[in-house]
Amino acid sequence: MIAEYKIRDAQSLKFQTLDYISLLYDRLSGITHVVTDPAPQIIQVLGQNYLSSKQVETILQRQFDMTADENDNSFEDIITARLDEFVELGLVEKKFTNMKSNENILAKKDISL
Amino acid sequence: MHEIRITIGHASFRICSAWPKVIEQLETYYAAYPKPQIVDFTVRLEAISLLRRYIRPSVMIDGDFMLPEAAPLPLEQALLGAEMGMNLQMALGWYRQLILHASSAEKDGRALIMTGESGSGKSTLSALLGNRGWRFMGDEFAFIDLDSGFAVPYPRLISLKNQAIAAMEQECPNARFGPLLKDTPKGDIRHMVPPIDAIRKMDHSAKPAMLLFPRFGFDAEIYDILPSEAFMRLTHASTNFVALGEVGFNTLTRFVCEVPAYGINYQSGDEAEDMINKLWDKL
Repeated sequence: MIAEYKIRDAQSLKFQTLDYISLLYDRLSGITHVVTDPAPQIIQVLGQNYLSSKQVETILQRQFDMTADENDNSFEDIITARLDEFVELGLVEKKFTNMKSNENILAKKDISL
Repeated sequence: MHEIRITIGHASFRICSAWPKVIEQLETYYAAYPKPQIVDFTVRLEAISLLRRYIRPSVMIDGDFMLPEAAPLPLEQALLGAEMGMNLQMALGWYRQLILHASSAEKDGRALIMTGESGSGKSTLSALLGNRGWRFMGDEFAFIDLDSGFAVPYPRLISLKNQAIAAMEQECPNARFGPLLKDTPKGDIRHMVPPIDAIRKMDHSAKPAMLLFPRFGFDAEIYDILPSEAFMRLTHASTNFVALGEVGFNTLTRFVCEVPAYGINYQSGDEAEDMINKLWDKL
């Protein structure tokens, strides 16, 4: 079983990038979240379909050329931490599922693990 | 109760008082302001008890919006009570524009917005500029229109504090000043009637052209402020950013993206004016 994530409601989120931070306004709560990389990119990658943090990592590395930070933390660990924070903020939903359920989504995105 | 009605910028007030001399005082200093039929807010300056209406009179600030824990003021400070009461109504009950705790002044149709903590000199600088070729727009609140993004004036009586009192008395010897209020909760205070031009043009909005974070008492310096920092600081300087929801978010983000922001450290009004003019000329 692995954890998978999706945006709770993509229509409720509004982005504004200001130099080194991004603002994420949640229409449902009325709260403005201040985020930095890679959090904005994670939100942009996530959609209405569930993805694991490994799948998010693969897409991010392909689309944004992102890798682990200079402290050599696992990039997937960083993504997982940010995703779980988003879950706590109510921006992202999380469920546990088996791996095969998302193979078709990755196929559509032309991504192989 | 005795009362006076005043329009300041887009807002209008009815100020009621148990003491006629308080209203007479307000009528003197707000003589040039329009007197509305219908008001947005009511402020009541009442005695804390029947006894204290006559013996050691003590003023309780009440109104449409009030703070139950607010300490009463002696009657001699009723002018400050009226100011605090009006501030409270705007801070808690005004949703027509985005509120910024800031002063503002206009030149050539463009607005300079100045914000900072108490003591930064934003009120004094706006009053100073208002006497040196700029139009004074307000010393306490700058309102940002939710559609146009323009700054809306709020030229109430200028509330001078501590050292700023002597500085402005010297700067504007012919201006009309209120009584010196010693040892108020905000220190020494003296109100100053804004220039008549500021009152006559109180409904003339201006497009914001520069955001300034002044700091009084530090060695002279000008530095850039990034939009992200301006945003973070202005969210703290706004009482209705959260309540306005998405329109507040849109208004503030547009403001910080479009308006260049600077910090200035200064030791005197002349020094600050030079810095402001240099920055203004580069726009």
